[in-house]
Amino acid sequence: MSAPAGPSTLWLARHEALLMRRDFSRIRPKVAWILLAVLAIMHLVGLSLLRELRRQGPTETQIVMVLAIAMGFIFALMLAKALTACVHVIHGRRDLDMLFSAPVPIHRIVAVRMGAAAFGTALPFLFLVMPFVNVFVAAGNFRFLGVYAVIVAIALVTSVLGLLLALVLLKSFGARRTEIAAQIVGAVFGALAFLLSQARVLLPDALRERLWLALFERAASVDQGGDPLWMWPGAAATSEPKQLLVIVVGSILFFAASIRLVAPAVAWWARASFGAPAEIAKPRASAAGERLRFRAGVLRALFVKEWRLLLRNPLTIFHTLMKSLYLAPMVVVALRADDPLLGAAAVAGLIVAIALQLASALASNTMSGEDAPDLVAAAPISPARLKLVKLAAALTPVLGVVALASLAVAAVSPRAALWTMAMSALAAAAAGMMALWHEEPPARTDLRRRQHDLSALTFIETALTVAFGGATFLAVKGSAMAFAPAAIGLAILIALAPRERRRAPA
Amino acid sequence: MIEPALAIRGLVKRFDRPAVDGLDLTVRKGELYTLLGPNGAGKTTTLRMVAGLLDPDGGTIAVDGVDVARDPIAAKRIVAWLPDEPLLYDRLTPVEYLQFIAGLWSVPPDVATQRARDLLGVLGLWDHRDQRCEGFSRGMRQKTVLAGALLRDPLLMILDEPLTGLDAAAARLVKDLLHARVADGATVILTTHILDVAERLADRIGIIRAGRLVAEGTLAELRGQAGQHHSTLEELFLELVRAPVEAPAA
Repeated sequence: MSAPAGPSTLWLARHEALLMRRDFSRIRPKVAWILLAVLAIMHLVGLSLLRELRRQGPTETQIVMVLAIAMGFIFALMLAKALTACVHVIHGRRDLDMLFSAPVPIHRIVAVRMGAAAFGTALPFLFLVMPFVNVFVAAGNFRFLGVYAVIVAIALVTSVLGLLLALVLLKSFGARRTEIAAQIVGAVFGALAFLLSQARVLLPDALRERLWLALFERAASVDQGGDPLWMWPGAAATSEPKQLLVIVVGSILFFAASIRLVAPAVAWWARASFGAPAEIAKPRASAAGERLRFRAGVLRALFVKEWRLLLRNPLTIFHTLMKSLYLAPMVVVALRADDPLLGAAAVAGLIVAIALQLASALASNTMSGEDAPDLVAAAPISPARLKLVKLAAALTPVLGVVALASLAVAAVSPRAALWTMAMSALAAAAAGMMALWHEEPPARTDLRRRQHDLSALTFIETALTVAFGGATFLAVKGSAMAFAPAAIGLAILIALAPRERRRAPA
Repeated sequence: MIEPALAIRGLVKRFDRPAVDGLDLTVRKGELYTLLGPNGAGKTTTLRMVAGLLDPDGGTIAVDGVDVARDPIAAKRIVAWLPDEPLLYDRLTPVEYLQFIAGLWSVPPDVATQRARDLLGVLGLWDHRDQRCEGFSRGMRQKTVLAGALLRDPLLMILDEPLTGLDAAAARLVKDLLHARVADGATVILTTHILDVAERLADRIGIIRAGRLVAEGTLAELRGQAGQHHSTLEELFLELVRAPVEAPAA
């Protein structure tokens, strides 16, 4: 009698889909409504893009070229996201050990888990392009539905590449530090992709012109019957049958064959990271070489603890600095201008934006990242005071950094420095409020803490960054319009404020 | 009149269903009280309310005469709560963890220094005092959390499944420390599923089921209540938790 074959790939995929659905169902209705509003606004942007394209009448080659460049950009960003997703596949969720002990072929489990990672990687990009594709399809351009297929194909390929990279990182850094290494590598990829996309702004004029010239020459060769490989994703996105077929079928085959090959390595690392953490990651001694030195004071204890933990989690600060890179093009443009006030305004806006990002990262790390919530809740200090002190501990370093940066701005324009200080304080307070209102205390049994609607909040945080940074820029320039973005930022904050205060345990 | 260490009257807590349903419980000073009950009986919910981590829907809790609802800060000064999962700050060392605890509970620095030195030594953590907790085994984490609780010298210690995951030596150490606390006049309440531990450790045992206390007393008293003078605690426990639950008096 033969043994039963075990659950099918489809059965495992249904289990994975159920877990993903549960994750999505935790997105708060208010956040979902804001995302829907953003989606609606992006449809309007798509509509104006369609009108503009109709007015300009680009050639087919130009459309394919732009789409190919866009797909290349998406590829780099997806690779960054896929890397962290793949590390999470290997040792993020604790059920992999249990699944591997089930009578199911390992490659089947890894394939399903990786398929879910690829889907998770593709989803934000599908969300991003959906309004544009919708508008184009509604106007009768059904061929742009190919964009979806290409994005899914890119997700499959980048997931495999991310998995290979994750295995290299695991071998190099060990299980415990790989998660941090992956986030750093991923963030660097993302930032590089962004900076490449901004080459038009960042590059010196001469180099930029030479690149444009080379691109036009390529386009001319295509018009004369050439078919360069780098433009295939663009052609596939416009549903060119040959390119679409090769890219979609190729990516599926690449995914399936790679998973079959690397599944044993994934299983080994997953087991190693669960089964023998002490062997893989040796405990680190404190750099401080602590002595038994106790000091009095609740405030002091809380501040010292929060600062120690923040300093020992450099990933937060690294992420914030990487995010700040995304604002670099705006500053470069401003600094190239002849008007020194314009430069000061841009730098002031940048400082405020960084202050908000840093404050948000530190505050959410402090508020939601509490490792021992029961301990602090059981301490003889009122919950309100506790939260206030924790928030103050998170925001104090931000204001210190801002004060130093404002001194530099003051050398060019004291008025700009004042605006920088005032708006940074407002932005930091806004970020602190967000962290306080959306604090996610971990479930007692969920030590790893699932990220619920973090992506949505990141999106809103970006909107606040633009609003307060923009308001500062306009205020330093002396524009009365500065009130508009500031008011939008405050309106977003008011919309997110909890209607009913949750009763905290005493 | 001497105040009991813990006095619970008509305690009620509902989630989807009643988790604690009109519970009355008194724990005297200087005793080691073990709370037993099947999964979902309401043991942890009760103890979390005593520690001030959950608000009751009804009833009162007094710790050493201090009403937990009226003066939660004063109550928290008296109580040390050790959850079943030893949650620590992975990036802090045991010494830094104890410094944080000492600050939060306002333990005078000289007292905290001496106690920390003693506790780290007794619990076998001295050689690991400058290592971050991220690489610690469950047993070491449990001992670090226990050191944090003992550092405050609490009148009432509440421990939820304190022996889960400990090896024999560590379990013995914890049991000895708890006995020493009780001998010093403190009160210890613990929950456990290991009935053998309850049988050997506890001065009195309370059995909770469906959020209500169904039996209480020393092992001999429990045997008497059940009319089974030669039964083991396991047999008594199974008998009591299987019996139908009576509706609370209106």
